[in-house]
Amino acid sequence: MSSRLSSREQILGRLRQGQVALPGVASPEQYRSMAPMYGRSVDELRARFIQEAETAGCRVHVMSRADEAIETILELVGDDRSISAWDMEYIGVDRSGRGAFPERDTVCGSKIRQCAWD
Amino acid sequence: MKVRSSQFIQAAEIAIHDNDLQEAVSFGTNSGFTKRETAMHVDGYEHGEAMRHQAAAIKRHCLKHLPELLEQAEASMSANGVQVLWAIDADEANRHVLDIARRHGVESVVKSKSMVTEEIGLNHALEDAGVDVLETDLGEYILQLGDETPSHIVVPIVHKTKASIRDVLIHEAQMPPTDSTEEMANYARETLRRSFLSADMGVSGGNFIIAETGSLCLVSNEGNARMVTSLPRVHVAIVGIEKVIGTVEDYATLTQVLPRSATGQTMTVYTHMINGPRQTGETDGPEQVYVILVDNGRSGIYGSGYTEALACIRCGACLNGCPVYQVTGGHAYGWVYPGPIGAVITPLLTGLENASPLPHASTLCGMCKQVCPVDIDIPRMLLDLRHDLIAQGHTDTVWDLGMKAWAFGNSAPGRFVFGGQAAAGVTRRLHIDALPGPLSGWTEYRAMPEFAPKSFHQLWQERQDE
Repeated sequence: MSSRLSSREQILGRLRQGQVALPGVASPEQYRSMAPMYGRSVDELRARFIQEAETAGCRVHVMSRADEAIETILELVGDDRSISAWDMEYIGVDRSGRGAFPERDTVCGSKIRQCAWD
Repeated sequence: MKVRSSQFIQAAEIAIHDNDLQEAVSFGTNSGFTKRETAMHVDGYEHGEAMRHQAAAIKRHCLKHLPELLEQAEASMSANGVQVLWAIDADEANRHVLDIARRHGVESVVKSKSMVTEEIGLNHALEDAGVDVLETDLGEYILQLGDETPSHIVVPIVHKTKASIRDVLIHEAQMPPTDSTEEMANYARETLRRSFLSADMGVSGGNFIIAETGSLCLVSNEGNARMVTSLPRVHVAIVGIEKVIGTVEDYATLTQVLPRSATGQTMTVYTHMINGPRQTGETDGPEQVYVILVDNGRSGIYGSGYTEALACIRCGACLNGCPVYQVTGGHAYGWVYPGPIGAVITPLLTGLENASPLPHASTLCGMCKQVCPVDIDIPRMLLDLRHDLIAQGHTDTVWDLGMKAWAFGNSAPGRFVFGGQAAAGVTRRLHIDALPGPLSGWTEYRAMPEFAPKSFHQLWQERQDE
């Protein structure tokens, strides 16, 4: 093989040569049925998640609306003054968190640097 | 890393008499093996096996289509803003990293655990260029302090006892004396955490790359991989070409069998899917992300009878289940990848002549295949490598003569009967309890079995006469 070929071309060239010798394999349609990932309903998956989380020592609160979720968070926070948070945008909380949690000193956004060390 | 696999027998002899190593490796492998059994079959044995066979089919499908998937992955990652580089060998991979470091004025690097960076000797290359490198996986950090190499694919310090880890931290990292595991981990955590914030570049490996999305997938338990890939302004991921898979669905299966097989967890504490550098409007994440796709001998395996070795997802389950690894530990194997899978890929990547004892470092009990999450037929490949060794003239004169004598004695009924009677008579009359000369190794650690009073032929003959 010419040394003028790039590494990319050399690697892909060798792989294509080897590919010819490989036997046929099962298609995704065949192997995805071996252990189907979508054999359960959303409710069953949620129940399984709650069960696993509680086994791991978590307490799970299921809320249907964003304002309920914020209310629950405030109940959990109680008198504490600072909150670290991740991905709160999903319940309509902006990165500063000031709107949803106005009486708290610090609310971190979804960013690791802020959460860990600010 | 220098290949020392040709000294496997001598290194194993030393390991067998190292009490600390025996204690540590026995505890680590037994623990890993038991946890895997539980985690793999948490939803029942049949589901666990179905998942294993699904994972095996996925990896074989991806290997079959590897050239196309690599091109697709390159296109997807490039569209995500990742800069993709290719390295034909270890030198080129290291040159790429050094070029990136120079381009971005990098003086310090933090690394998360990566076997391929051990394979290419990245730390030495960076240190030789004057760049500070810090391993941030706790096990790798302890090894770096003690100037050691990993002895297990997943648990790099499986050969070390708690006392030896304590001593390394006290002597090399100025830890105040303590016997508390928690205090040791806390001390290391505090020391490492400062380094994440000051490092210019993070280097990681990659468990998988998903071709359709261009996602780099990592699993970890300590949180260091997230910091390595998020905090420094440059992130470089070094990944073997065989790690590319097709779809998110493929990943969903593989990311279930990997932690179950590796650490006996249904899921690792951290599961990362990295999709490129910081985007406009985001306040953190690396400014630049590079992925280096490393060949380093893999394309030479591809298409051969050993292609399925490339399906390995580096879980280490075959190490934990191997009766040879359990007593020798990993360093005896003499290179980066120990255990049964190491006994296959080390000769393939470094040359059979440099690792000729490794295909024999197996009892062929088959446990490695049984626990492999992608069902790699390691025993079959070890036997094929033994055939290759003989074909290439890597034979032992005494062994050859012994096998020829055995074949001569067993190829005619008269010689077979005479040989059996002669051996039985000699051992009984001379009360031999240890074999002589080149056969002495067999009885060094085993009792010499007594011959039965009557041979099978005699018993059969008597039964026919009745």
